[in-house]
Order: sequence, then C-alpha cells, then structure tokens
Amino acid sequence: MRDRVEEGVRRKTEPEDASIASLGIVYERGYRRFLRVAEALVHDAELARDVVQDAFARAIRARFDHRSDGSLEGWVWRIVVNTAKNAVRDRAATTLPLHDLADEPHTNGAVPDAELSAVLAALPERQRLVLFLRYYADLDYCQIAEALEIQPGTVGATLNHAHKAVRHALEATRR
Amino acid sequence: MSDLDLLVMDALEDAVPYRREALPDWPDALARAGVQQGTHGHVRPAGDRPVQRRPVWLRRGALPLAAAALAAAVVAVATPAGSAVVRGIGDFSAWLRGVPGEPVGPAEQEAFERANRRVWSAFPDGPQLSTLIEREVEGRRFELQGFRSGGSLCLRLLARGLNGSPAVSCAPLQELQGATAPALVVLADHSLGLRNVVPVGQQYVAPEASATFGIVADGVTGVELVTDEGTRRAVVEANAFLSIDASPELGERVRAVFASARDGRRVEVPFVSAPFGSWDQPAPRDAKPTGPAKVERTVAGGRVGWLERREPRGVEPPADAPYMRGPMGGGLEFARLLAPDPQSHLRLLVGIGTLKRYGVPAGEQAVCYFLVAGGSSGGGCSPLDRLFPRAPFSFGQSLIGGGHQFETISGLASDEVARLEIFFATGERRPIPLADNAFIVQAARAKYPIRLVAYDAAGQIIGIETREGDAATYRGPRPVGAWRTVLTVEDEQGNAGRLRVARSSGGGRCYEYLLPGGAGGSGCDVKTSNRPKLGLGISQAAGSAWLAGDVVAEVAEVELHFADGATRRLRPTERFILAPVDWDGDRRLTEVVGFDAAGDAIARQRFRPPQLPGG
Repeated sequence: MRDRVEEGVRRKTEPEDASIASLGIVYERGYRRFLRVAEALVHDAELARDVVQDAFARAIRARFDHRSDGSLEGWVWRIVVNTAKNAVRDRAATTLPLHDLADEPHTNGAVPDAELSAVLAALPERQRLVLFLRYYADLDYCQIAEALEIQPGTVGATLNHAHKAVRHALEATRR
Repeated sequence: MSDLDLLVMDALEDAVPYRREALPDWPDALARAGVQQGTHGHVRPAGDRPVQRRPVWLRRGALPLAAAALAAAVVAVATPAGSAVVRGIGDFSAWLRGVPGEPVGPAEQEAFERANRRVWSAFPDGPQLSTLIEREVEGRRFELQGFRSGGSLCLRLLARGLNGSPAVSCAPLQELQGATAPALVVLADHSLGLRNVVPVGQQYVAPEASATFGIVADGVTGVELVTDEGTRRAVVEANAFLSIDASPELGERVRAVFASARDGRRVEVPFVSAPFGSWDQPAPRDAKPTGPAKVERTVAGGRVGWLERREPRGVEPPADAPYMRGPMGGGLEFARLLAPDPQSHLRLLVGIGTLKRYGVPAGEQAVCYFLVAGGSSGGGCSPLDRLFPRAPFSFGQSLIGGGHQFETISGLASDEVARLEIFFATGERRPIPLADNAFIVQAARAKYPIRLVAYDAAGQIIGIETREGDAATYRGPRPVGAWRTVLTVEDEQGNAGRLRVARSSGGGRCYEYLLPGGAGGSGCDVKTSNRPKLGLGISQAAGSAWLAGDVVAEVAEVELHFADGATRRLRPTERFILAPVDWDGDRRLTEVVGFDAAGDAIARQRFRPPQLPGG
C-alpha cells in the first residue's frame, strides 16, 4: 500500500487520452499496484505478472474504445480486474483462501492470522475487490467506482459491509 | 477505527506483499498488443490515432528496461586507463580540451558575466557558456549549459519559469582525467518548481519537475536512469546528458545510472542517490578507506600564526557580508577571504574574534571559517586553543544539495602542515590545494570513504582523518523489513492518523506516524539509560493537532489534562500513544500523567501553550 503521506500532494492532471504514450505512463506509475491487486485476485505472483501485461495489451488494443470523459486509470483498472477474474476462471480453480499464501516470505516475520485470512477470502467478490482496490491500489472511492462500474456511494457501503462481515465472522469464530 | 478494522488492514498488508523489486516491462506489453517498437524506442503503432507525443526521452519509463535485461546486459569492465576511460568507448577529450556545444549568444554571455562579477566566489577566467542540450517539455523550456572555470567543469540547468533554476553544479576536471566510467553524473534529482512554502512537519511536496544531468565520454550513445518507478532514457547530446521527469512521484529517486556505447556495451556509472525524507538516506558505503593509516610524528594543538597576528592575507571581505555582522558573525574582529585554489570559485572566509555564540565561552578568542560557494555558505567556530583537537587540521563537509555528486571539504591546517593529500576508496590520491593555512577540495561522493593526510615539511605524516560518508550519509538506525500499522485513529473531521512500526537495524523499533495532510514524525529507539517515562510531543497536522509518541513499558495508562479541567484516559498500544487533541483555546492540552498498572502516577509531562512567531 502506498503511504498516506502522499495524499494531498498536488499532482499533475493525468493524461486522459488513451494514446499508447498515455497508457505507458499509467503503466509505469502504477505497475506495482496493478501487480499487487492482480496477485490478490489470482493468488499467484507469476500469473499476476501475466495478468497485468495482458491487461495492458488489451488496453492498448482497445484504446479507441476509451471514452475521453472517463478517467483513463479507472478504465485501465477495470481491464486489469476483469483480466484477473478471467484468469482465475480460465485456470478453472476455486479461489484459494489467503492463508494458502503462507509460503510467501514475510519480511517482518509476521504470519497472517489464518482465520482472518479465510474470512477475507470468503467475502463476496465485490467486497473483496473493493477492499483490495482501497488498500492495495490506494484508490479513492471515485476511482474504485470507475474501476468496478458502480456508484461511488456503493463503494463506501460495500467497504462498510466488508468490514462488518469480517467483524461478524471473526466474532462468530472466536466464540 | 476498531481493532478488528486494524486486523483487517494488517491481514491484507501481510497477505500480498508489495513487490518493490518487480520492474515494469512496457515493451513486453506492447509486444503482446502487437505493437512494433522502433530501434530507438519510438513506438510505431499501426493505425494509431495522431496524438501529440512528448519526446520519448522525457517520458517516464519511455523505454523501460526490466531489471533482468539490465542484469543480462554485457557490463564492460571499467579500467582505470586515465582518459581512455573504458576501453573502446572513448574519452572525455571534448571536455578536457574545452567545452562542447554551441556558445551562447553575446547578451546571455554578458548577463552571466555580470552576475558572476557580483558574487564573492566568482568563477575565475571569465568562463564561456555553451549550450549543450535544449528541450521543451510540457510547455516549459529546459536548457543545459556548460562551462569550464579553472580546474572545474560546471553544468548549469535553466528551467524557464520554475524555481530552483538555474541549477549549477561543478565537478573537478581531475575526475575526468582519472575517470573509470564513460559518464559522470553531476547532479541528480534536482527539484524544480517546488512550491515556495515551508512544509509543515513531514508534509513533503513533489516538485513540478526534477532533473538529472551530467557529462559523457565521446563514444557514449545512451544513458539510462533506473528510478523507483522504472527506467528512463536521458537525451545525450554534446557530450552531456539530461533527463527531465516532468511529473515526478513524491520521493522518487534515481537509483542507478548506466551508460551505453555504440557497440552495445553498458557500464554502470558510480553514483549516489539523493536522500529523501526520514529514512531514504545513503548509508556508509561498503568500501575500505585507502592511504596511510599511521601517524609518523604526533603533534598537539597548533596555530594559524598569520591569523593571530592579523596579517592581511587574501582579500578583505565586504563589511556588509554575511558572517561579518548580525546574528551569524557578530564579534569577528578580523576576517579575510581566502582562495586556497586560485583555479576554483570556492572561497574560505576565515575570521578571529571574541564571540558569544557557537559554544565559545565568554571572553575566549575563537577562530571561525565559512565556505563560500556561489550563493551558498556555511561553517562554524572553535575556541582558538581547541581549533585542532584531533589532528593538525580541521575541516567541514559541505553539500549544497542532496543530489549534488561532489562534496566540498574545506578547513584550516596548522602552521605545522606543509601539504595535504586526499585518498579515495578507489585508491586514487590527490594533493589538496593549501594556501594561507586554508584548504578546499571537492570529493566525489561515490568514492567514499575518504582519508585526509597531513605531512610536515620533512614529509612525515603528522595527521590522518578518515570520513566514512559524506554530509548526507546517515549512520543511525533505520527501519528493517516491512512496516506494521499499530494504531489508526480518526479526528473529529474523520481524518485518520496512523502509527506504524518496523524493526530497527539498531535493535528495538522504528516508528513513523502519518497524520492528515502529510504531517507526521518518525524515529528509532535509541538505547539510553535516562529516557523519560513519557516521550510525547504535539504534531500539528492539517486542521488538527495530535499527541504522539511512546512511553516506557511500566506506563499502563495516561491521563490527558486540558485547560478547562477536562481529563481523558488512554491506554498505550504497544507503548505508543496517538490521539487528536485540542492545542489552542480553552480546551488546550496542558499535561499528560502516566500511571502504572497499580494506578499510581509515575510520570508527568507538561505542555506549554503554542507560541506565536515573535511571541
């Protein structure tokens, strides 16, 4: 997750035309965030890399379809998320619970709570996507709304539901 | 935010790592899309819409190169072959003979000379300015100029309409004569267009643009900069290179520089990244100092006779110059401006007097010296009888900015010193210009550790001083591994403050609190026997104030006392406290009391009301 310290920094207006150059800038700036969200969705670092590369290849090919009144980055996020979902489907595998990633090295020595990770993995897809885009991609509600083609108000509600669902599930499992 | 919410965030943080090492591969994405790339990286999409395209070299990651590709590239073995540099790539003869590029127009040359004459530390020899590279980026004009002055070559970047311009940075010509790489970075990540405001706390702001530039040997055709966000290619013209990042990310830095030749060979260029923020600062380099390690004759103390006798060496500094009066230098009774290296624009102002500052005891004579370099200067004072406490010379390290690749070392040597020499980690050694007991030398930061060696008139070594790092090197503890969020707290407006910790390289923990609007603070545990039980402070963030800090383990609870008599109790989380508080008006925080597990008050920290400037 990017540090919140970056929030409030005045940024230049993002290029909104879907030229290859503009897509290249979006790719370079957001590569690691795209990769992280993709990995959260497909649970495989190598596959996640492929997903991001394929998603941008799709974006390049479909660049004429981008509506200039929408955010280019939001449009690209939508393609990345859809490509990741397709990759999971194509692999014909069920979503692995997050604690199956325990083999991942944890540089701080912390092991994620398997119980909690399983709860997260069991969330409805939209709730998981909103969580991932909020925390891994550091997108704001409007960007998440664009990426998932939902209303900004729905993002807040979905995020709230996700938190509540996790809270309830944990309380239930710990009783 | 509840503990469960924090657990969710932590679980997410741990479940999928942020792969900082992953490098983008844009050419691969283009290839998957069926887009051809030109041999120089220009994209040639069939049927692409006509778009106004910025020059390739100016775009972030216009030619991203995967780390694997870089690693796989043939890395030429640098050979210290004098001006031959790396065999077959060429040398710096264009710079050693003169200045490449086109001379600027007479009006611009005249304006430069007028400005040069106005400063104390004027460039000698009336340097002739040349234009090396000119480009327009997003409506702004950037021009890289070069000139030679005495023993230095200097680059000057003009960015019309942006503060931070002109940016001037110089390198000693000797660097080219002994160069082991076919390029020389002179200035990296120079910020242009920073807002003219003082940031609050750690509220850093990204500049509008940043620039990295340097010079290249004759046979260099490309320079690639590996940054935190990818790889970009600089423009190379007139034996120089320039890279402008027109929209840098906050804290983005160049991490490595590679020069490539016509035959495809790629050589890594010695380079030190510019520091950023609390933690991103260069560590001491993993190299051993070279040169003599043993003093042959021990001398104690030392004097600068001419200064004590008030002999008029050098020139008299202007009476209204900084350090001669006012808060910086009031009390100097005698001062001279010295040019130990007449080939350099750098000067040393040396003075003596009875000072009431700089830690000099009242009534004692003190000697001060200040480096004067263009518009910058800095220095300090020592009591006269403690001017040379460890060696018969003393010096300071000066860095104009974190991205400058050459540090200035300036100081005074005692009358016992006949000559000085500097030794670099690379094994190179150079005499240090010394005149009237003053010396100034520029040292490449990529060649540290350095060692300064003093000799007496008989050639015996009488002093050795080693420096592991330059002025920007950070030797203290720093965070290791991933950060873990410990606390997230919202203020009344719903703005969140976050406190996170990481292991410290020095043992214990490092912490960082990030407050709304980018304010915050950071630090690492320091082992001390007398730390206070409550180590709390107030940080002002956007529209709110926060109590933040840590307490010792025996503090089980703290009570906040406010000016209106109200109190509020908080339990430390992992010994940390983070809470929004009132910091002005009738509900201002006045005191924090710490309680142990038995409920006994064991510590107290009072907070004074905020002082208005001048109040």
